[in-house]
Amino acid sequence: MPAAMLLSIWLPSHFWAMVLFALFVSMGLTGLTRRTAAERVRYAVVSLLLFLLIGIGAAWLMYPFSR
Amino acid sequence: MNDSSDHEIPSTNPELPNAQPAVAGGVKKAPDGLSIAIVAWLVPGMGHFLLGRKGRAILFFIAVGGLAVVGSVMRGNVFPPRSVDPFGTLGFLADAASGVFYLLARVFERAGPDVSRAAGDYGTRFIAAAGVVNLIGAFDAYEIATGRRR
Repeated sequence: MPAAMLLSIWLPSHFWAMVLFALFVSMGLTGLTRRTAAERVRYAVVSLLLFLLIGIGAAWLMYPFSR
Repeated sequence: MNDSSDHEIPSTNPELPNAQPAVAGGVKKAPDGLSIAIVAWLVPGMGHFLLGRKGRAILFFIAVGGLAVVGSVMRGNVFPPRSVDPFGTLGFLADAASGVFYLLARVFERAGPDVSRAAGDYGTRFIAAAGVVNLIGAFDAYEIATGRRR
């Protein structure tokens, strides 16, 4: 399956794994909201950005203790 | 995806203002909460779809399916029903919550998990997260069906 082959090449990156995880979980959380379509899109984008920001922030905070 | 008003099915809870007779007068009988929850667990998004919330159904299906498929491609660990340690049992419960995607992951798992690499370890978390997101969706569908949420 080409999609699976593409993913298997692409996925070893930690960053893209984090982005995909944040994207799918944000979509799931957006499904719980009771809002208009525009508000849902905004909720999903804000949720995704917060996931990424906190993930990268936590990585930087842990960096001094990684070695 | 503003689907809160389309295809409204009356609540089965008589105390709620939108409750209507379930079968009389040609009104379509609303499915009961337990059936909806089971269907929502088996097929992610199907509970919302049956309740007329098609936008949310698509969101849940893509979210759960995406997590499960990516996790499987990353060769994450799909826990079997019987495990020797409690963490394995917890992993199975989380994985099995993704319904049909758990079964598909078990069927198409050819090479087995590879948690020696970081990608495989992440994949394990992706598959577990798919189950957790699906469980949240199934509870949401149950609450809509019973009239607790709109």
